[in-house]
Amino acid sequence: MDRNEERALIERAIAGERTAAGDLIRAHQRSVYAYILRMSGRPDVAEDIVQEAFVRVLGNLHRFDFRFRFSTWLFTIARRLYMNAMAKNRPAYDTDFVGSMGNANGLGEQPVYTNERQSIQHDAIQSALMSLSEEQREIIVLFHQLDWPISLIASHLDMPEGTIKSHLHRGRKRLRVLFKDQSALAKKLEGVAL
Amino acid sequence: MSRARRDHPDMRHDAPGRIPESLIDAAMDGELDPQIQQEIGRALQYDPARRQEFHDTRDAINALRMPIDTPDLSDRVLARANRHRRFIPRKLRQQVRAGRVVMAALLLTTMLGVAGLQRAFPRLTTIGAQPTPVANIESAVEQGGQQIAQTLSSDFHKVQECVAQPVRGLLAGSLDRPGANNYSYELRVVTAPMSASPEIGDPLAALHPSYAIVTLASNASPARASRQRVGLAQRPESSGVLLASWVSAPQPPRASNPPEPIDKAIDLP
Repeated sequence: MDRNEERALIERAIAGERTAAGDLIRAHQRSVYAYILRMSGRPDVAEDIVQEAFVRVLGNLHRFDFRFRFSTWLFTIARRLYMNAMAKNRPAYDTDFVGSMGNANGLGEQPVYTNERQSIQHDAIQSALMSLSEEQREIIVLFHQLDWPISLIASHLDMPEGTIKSHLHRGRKRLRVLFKDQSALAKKLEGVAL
Repeated sequence: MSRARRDHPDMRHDAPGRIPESLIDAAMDGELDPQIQQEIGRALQYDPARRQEFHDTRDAINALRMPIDTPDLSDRVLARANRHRRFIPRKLRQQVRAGRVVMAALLLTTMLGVAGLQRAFPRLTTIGAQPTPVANIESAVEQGGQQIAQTLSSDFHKVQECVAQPVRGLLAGSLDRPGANNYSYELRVVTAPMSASPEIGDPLAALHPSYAIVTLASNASPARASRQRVGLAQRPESSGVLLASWVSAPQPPRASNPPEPIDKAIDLP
């Protein structure tokens, strides 16, 4: 979706078109969900945070400045929510309790992978990611998974580009080692199970 | 090796025969142009250790980029947004805002209109054009006062007419007495209700509404002043006026001819 299409969608959503708001959510939910899932390692937390982020974005959509990217705004809100949640070590949103009451399967829900190998790789990379520092993990996810440029990551995290690169290189090196170890462990466990 | 690769600073400070790690990082960061990246790819074939690292890193990144099964959150988000009233369409928001402004303007206009009317037509906008208890009291007091004033005035004139002549006759006798020239006479007719006074001999006098006081004051000696009170009573059963008189202290010590009490009825005209 280019910026003009996105702008038209946002304007329709501001005007009260529910379908446009739905389209806007569907256009961005995958990336922001992946971001929070990679950061938290928990699908339930990711769902809660992404929902809350979208609720807040829709509530303030009329204040959106079209000079900026919608995804940046959404990611900033989601990141802040994630940071707050991690700081308090619990979901701390007023809407979470109401939302979770209607969804008995929400907690502990795991993503379903059609391919078992994919599932193993997913677990391995997630374990490796969770072993990185918060900064390294976030930068690697934003750069390699979401294809954000270094400059945008620097702006998003309010860090110099040199620091971002430094975190990226060290994190990537560590990730390589951790992922290799996790994959080898998973293969061993797979062999034992068979 | 190409010129670009040789120009890279890490190429000069790395072990011979090895591709610098920073060069691999730069390639992965997308900072090198495609030609250099191809050269690095070819060079990796001669550096198995670096190639293995490169492949391991590539595997990790590929695992990271694997598609994630994402639930569709749009319905839940919209439901939550509606439940918490956060997602209000712009038109509705504008309508609500306009409605508030209109209501405030109407209220202000009404208040200003009422104030203007009140200023222009005070009676028109006076609340309580109907009689109120306070208005009744005020009007009753006003009307009662006027009636009382009229009644008193009428009674006063009636009493004055009734009393003037008899009193004048009464006092005329005193004037013939010796030393009468030394006395001045004053007639005061008081129309206040008369209370039961022990000085009044006639019990009817206590009932009548007014009485007259005649004072004889000695010009020569104020101590010798004598006062005569003439009680006036209008008998309820007749049209006559009872005229009673008595002498009150201080008495002149040796009056040659002290005034005699008079007690006679005078017919009203």
